[in-house]
Amino acid sequence: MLLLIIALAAVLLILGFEMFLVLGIPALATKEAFYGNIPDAAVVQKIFGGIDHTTLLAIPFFIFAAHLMGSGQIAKDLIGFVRSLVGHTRGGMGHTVIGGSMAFGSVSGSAPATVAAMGKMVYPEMRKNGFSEKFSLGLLVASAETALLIPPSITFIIYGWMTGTSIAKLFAGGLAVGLFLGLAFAIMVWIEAKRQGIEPDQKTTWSQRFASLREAKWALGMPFIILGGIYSGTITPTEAAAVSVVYAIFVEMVVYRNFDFRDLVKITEQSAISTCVIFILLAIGGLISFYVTLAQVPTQITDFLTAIDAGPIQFLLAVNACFLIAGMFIDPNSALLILVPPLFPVAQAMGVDPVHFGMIVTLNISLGMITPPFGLDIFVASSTLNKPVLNIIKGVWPFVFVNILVLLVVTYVPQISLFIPHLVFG
Amino acid sequence: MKILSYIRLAERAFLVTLFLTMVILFFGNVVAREFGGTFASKFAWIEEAVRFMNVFLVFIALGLALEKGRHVGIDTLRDRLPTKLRSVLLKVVDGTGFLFSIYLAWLGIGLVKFVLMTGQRSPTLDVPVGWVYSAPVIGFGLLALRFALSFIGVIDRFGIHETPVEAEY
Repeated sequence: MLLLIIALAAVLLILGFEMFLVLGIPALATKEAFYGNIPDAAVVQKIFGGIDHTTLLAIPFFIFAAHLMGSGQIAKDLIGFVRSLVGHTRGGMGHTVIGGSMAFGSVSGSAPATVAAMGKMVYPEMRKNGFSEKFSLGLLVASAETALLIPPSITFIIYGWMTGTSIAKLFAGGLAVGLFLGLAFAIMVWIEAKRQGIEPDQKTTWSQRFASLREAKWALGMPFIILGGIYSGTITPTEAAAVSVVYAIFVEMVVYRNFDFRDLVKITEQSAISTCVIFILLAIGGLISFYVTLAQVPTQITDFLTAIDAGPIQFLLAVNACFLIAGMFIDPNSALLILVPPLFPVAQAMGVDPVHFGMIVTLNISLGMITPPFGLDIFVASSTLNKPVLNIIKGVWPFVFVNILVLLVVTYVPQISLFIPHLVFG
Repeated sequence: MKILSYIRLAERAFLVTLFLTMVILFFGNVVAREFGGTFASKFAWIEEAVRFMNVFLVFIALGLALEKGRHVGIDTLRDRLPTKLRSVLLKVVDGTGFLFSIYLAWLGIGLVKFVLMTGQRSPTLDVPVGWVYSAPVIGFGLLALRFALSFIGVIDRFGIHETPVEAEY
């Protein structure tokens, strides 16, 4: 019976049903098959309960802020500032892509939004700089992953809410892991630039740097408010998200006069719909994790692992394999919703630190966004830049490979994930 | 379909007003706490209110999101099918989606009735919780309407591809 339900989900997935149907229809079938005694009304109550939570409010607010900044001046200023800092190095435009993605990630929590915002701005520049089409596309798609790791990150918020882990600690850990991933990509850029004999981008003088710093002062206020507010203990991540929306509206509408009220209405509506698209999955996820708890899946996994005498490292490697396979086929948020409820209690039983586990999960999620055949970022890049999906896939492979290496290092060396949280929170 | 455009207008106006109100309330809450001292305790209801508003935001946007082709799904294989087979499959998707959303809306009505009967009220706002549960009923109702309209061919939700900046999921 369980196999039938899984098969049903697989068929719906392949036939291109909307993801909420791919999760929702099997969830209803599970109720009919196994939990007939649960009152019908409870189904809707669990769906409702899946999204009725204060922590999750951070997500609509961060989405809203990211939409505002992406369509306005803040994102452009941040990238300009990064370029003035690293543009003069070998393969400078490549480093700008990585740094710019991180900078954009520090104000937005979504990788596809980063690909879309960065794509048009930096791709032509990279080609002008002498990078091949393949490498430029791969780098662009891969760098956007850092947005999921650099705080604020939607993935961390969902993970923190599902597992009760401190979101401030997750954000702190993500900063280190995000920088580590960026560094790995930077080395790839450096090697590629050396191999292709790519000259440094334009020289920048210090006075030019100060000029672009001044230009970006309003934009830099954003990460300052978000991170400063959270780590000084003044505001919670959810409050920081709401403050960032007001700040973005103020900067874009009052300081830069980039858009008027009509634009604000349009962006608000788009943000509401983006929110809905994520939250309907979270809602159905509320129902699924209810079953996972009822069926005692975590206990069964733990028993199985004890029986085969597997330690934490074997377990974490198995987790990586699960997420990698899931990430190839389903979207990151769905993978999170299906895999975290059964696996997190097992990780706890194995003595894995919740923050460390969160880093492993999020790195996997971000890897899933660039893994062919169904990496979401690949499709976003394809439609932003009007390039065939196959060209992007060709370019992205080396990055997927390096990413897996980074993932293994992060898995084996918990200190990378934990040293900043320990530094900040003791 | 004049009615449809009225519904659309109502949905959009509702979403925009609601979202902006959420931001103002939550921001106001922070400001009141930082600068208002004891005055801030008067605003304890804000958190609960914004949470409920967010639930309405999510459910009311369901139908619009479907119409704009914004829900995530893997359509790569679907869109490579021969035209005839593809159009049959799209009808199946619409039909299934319609039954799914009508069923959930119907279950939701049961929940609303049940909770109203128990007379449960929310902790700080003191509103009947039963009414809050009307969000999924309305939302899945609007979603069912869109699936039905797409099924009979009044709206084309598969043809539109929004500009990529908006394609953030």
